[in-house]
Amino acid sequence: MITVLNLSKKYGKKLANDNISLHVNAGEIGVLLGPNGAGKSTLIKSVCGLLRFQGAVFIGGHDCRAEQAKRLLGYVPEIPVPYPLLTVDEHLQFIAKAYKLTDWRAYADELLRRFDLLDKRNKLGKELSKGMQQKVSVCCALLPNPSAMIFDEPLVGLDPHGIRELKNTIAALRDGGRAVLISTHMIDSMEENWDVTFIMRDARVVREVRRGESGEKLEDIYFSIIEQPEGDTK
Amino acid sequence: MSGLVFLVLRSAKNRFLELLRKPAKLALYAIMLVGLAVYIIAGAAQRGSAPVLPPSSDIMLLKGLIFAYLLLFYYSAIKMGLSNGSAIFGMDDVNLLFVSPVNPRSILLYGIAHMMKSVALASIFILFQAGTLASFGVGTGGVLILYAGYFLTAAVSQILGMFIYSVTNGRPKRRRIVKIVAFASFAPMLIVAASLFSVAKGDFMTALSRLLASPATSFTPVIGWASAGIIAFVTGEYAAGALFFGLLAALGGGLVAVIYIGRPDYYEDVLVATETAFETKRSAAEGKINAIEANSKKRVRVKGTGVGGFGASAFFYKHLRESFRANRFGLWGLPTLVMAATAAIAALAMRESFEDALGAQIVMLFVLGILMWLQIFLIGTGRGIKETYTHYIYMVPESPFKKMVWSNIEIMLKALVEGVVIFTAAGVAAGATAAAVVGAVLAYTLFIFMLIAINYTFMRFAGTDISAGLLISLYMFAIMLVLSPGVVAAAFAGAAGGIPLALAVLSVWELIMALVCLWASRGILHECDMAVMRQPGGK
Repeated sequence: MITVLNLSKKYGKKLANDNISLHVNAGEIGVLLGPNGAGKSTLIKSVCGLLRFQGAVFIGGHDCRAEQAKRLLGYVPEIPVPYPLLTVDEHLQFIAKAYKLTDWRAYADELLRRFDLLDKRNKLGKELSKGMQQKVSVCCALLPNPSAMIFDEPLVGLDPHGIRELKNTIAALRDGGRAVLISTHMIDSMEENWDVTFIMRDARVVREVRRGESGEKLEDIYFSIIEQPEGDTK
Repeated sequence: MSGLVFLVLRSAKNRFLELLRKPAKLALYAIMLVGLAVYIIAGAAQRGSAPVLPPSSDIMLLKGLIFAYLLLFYYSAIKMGLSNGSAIFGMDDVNLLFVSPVNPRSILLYGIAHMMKSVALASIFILFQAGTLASFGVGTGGVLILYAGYFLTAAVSQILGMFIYSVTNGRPKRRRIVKIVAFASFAPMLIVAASLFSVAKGDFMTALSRLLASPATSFTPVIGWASAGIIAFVTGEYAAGALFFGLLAALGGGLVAVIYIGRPDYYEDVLVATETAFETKRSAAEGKINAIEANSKKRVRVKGTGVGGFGASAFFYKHLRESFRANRFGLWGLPTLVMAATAAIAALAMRESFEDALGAQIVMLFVLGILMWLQIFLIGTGRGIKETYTHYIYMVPESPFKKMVWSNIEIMLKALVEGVVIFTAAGVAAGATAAAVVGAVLAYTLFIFMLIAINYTFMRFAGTDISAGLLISLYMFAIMLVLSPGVVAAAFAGAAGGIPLALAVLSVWELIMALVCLWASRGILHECDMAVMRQPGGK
């Protein structure tokens, strides 16, 4: 469902992503791990078609910049960006109208309930705490019922209830046949829910591990690779 | 070596080295400087031709314009002082310097020196007014005087804001006193205005001219001193100019001295403003469009709710909802009415200077020129362009062209109605023909269309590696470059067939260039890096 082929991205002379290829199937959760500056956010933004890059990215077989791909894709950015003068409910209305959704109201209410936002539905974006803004951002991404979901550090700023709900939601997305790609530093929180892990270092994916290939915990796999000397990670 | 001296020298050295590492940036700075010099010299050369307005009235009109413009700074300084204070420091200063064992008084002087450097750089844009000043018969020297007056006023306003906050923070009674003193500083001018206009017998222009020339106006604190100082220097009255500029400098120096001696524990007084400014910049850098709206403490009433549209048009309806929530008058609120009234008064004032029909048309050109100049700075605040700093417009599965069009319809509608209101008011006041009014409305609306298109083209090609300050200068340079052939063609058309024809030619040129720029910006929503908001200056 999410296919990245030989993706490279440069900012000026700095190589942020170096010839990256990865694949996340429908019904799988892919986790992107790596230290700060490894190039995870750049990769996520490239996959969403927000950056210009070399190589190819396909969502459901469509080029990620094509309208068909955008219709299949949901994205939760690292920093929630709500519109300050729209209410929570209007954010969902706007997404429903822009994506030309029909019969979306019941699902919108369900999302608001699940993320504890029902009593905040008439609050403006500017009146929400960072955690609430993150929840609105997640609801907006989920509303079009995308087949592929991309999360960039989705758990940062959420309260324990929000973290639990989002983890459940991510698991439900996988169980519903969606492909999910998550970039995170919170390795613990993804321990139960991952199918494939891509470990990034110095702009490259240095290791791809599928669940079951190794009996180790995700955290142990990560540190065994990241703490190795450079050039010794394959 | 003291920590502060090290900080200043090392920062300057690193900035210089960074410039050397980026030769393209260095070359762009050089091009900009040359462009600015050419512009100022061209403005001075233009002075040789006959001025648009007769010399007897134009200098007072210029003084009035400067007074009104600087009034914004004075008002902002007082408002800032009564709310958060001035942000003369950066968060890096707060986090590293304020907790260090460096004398707070030395840090204060460092902050003020840094603020003055920033103000001096930010004031450079006033040099682009050389052309406007030339129409008042003012040459290169006058432009530099205007720069000095503008710089002094902006710097003193910052210090005043900090001082007001330090004496009124948490003291409601003192806040009331500051408000009364601020209003009272205009009392002599208002009394003189009342007496002059009461005996004007319909000759309001003479009354206005006498008011602006009166000592009551010239001795109005800060803005009166600044505008009188600028005019005094421009007209060769150097002693008076030195007196007024001296008053400004003395006020700034005096306020610094009071804070330096009397409030060595000023850290708390600058903290809120610094944090607010930092938060606003960070929000913007993080892609939070409308950072000012987001961080504003103004209470917003949620009355009507809902977003209409379907597909790309949802952006237009969302913008409408946001605009009506930001301003209860919706798209065309109080600012439009104030601009229309100002344009009408200015048109009425200038009409006195002309007796023939051509004069009325020239007045329309003058109003058009000022509004176009303002829009160069205001266009970036439009919701359509701001939308490119967040991911939604890129992710919505609609054609990029449709999304771009729908996300800018709100601002185009606003421009059209604003143009109709303002130019009808100015046209009626000046006695201009209907053709001139229609021409001005068209030229104004299409100019905004062209600016939007230039903005997109700029985003498409500017990249992310040059500073915001340089981007703004380049952007202004690009606008002048794009517009110049149209202005030249319009001038020829005007000479041959009158001002309505000139405006029609200018409008056609703007339309053509807007379409060319739109074509050049194609792909901005699906083949380019998402736009990143950059703020001028490091602090």
